[in-house]
Amino acid sequence: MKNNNRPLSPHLQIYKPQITSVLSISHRFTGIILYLSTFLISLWLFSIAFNNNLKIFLDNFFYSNLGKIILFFITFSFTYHFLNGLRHLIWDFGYGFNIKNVYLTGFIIIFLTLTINIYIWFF
Amino acid sequence: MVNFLKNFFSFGFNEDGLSHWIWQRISAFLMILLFFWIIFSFQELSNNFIIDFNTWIKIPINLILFIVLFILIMHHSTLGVLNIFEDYVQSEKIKKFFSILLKIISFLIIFISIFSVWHIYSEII
Repeated sequence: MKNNNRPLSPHLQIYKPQITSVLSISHRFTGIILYLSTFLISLWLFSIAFNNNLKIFLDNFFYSNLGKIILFFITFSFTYHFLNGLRHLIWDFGYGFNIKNVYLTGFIIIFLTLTINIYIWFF
Repeated sequence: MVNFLKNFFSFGFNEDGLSHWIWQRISAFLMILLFFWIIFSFQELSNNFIIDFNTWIKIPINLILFIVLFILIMHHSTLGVLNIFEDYVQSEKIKKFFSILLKIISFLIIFISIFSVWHIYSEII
């Protein structure tokens, strides 16, 4: 018999916000933003190859404030997802699992993400 | 072993959790290398990014690595979003529907991007 009552992951509201859970949820959330941003990259490549008007439109859009905010979210998501991904890979090799290290690497990642993004956008 | 290989070469897209997990890591690891490469090679382009990009992509090794990177990105992100469906969509039918839709969209994105990049590459300078 087909079981249509599959167990699900606990929904997000169930977690008490703390650095471990917030970072984990952010990892997924930034992943979704990055997936959506591939649409833009694809559109941008298409415009370079085939449609000059679209390219001019995209250039103007990404120089506008809204475009810059979107780009900021993309670079922010990218740096965060990249660094936290490295942390996940280190975990996969079995290192850094005790709670002290989890907190420490978590704070390091937040610090690095902010530093890199401030560097990208203000220098 | 045969079963393992069969699952492994599904590239993470069948129902087997292990191959999904392994492919997510393989693509992540390869992407780390390729992102370092692309960030450092974009550093050398000047302010006129588009013109430089057009000449940059005409070097065959750049073209190949760029296409590999793009496929890896889409593979990794499609696996990631499938995992979210696995966790949060209860009904098997709806899950199946969205999985197929997602794969079609990802495939289209890969197709459009590679086709465009190939077009830029094959343009006469």
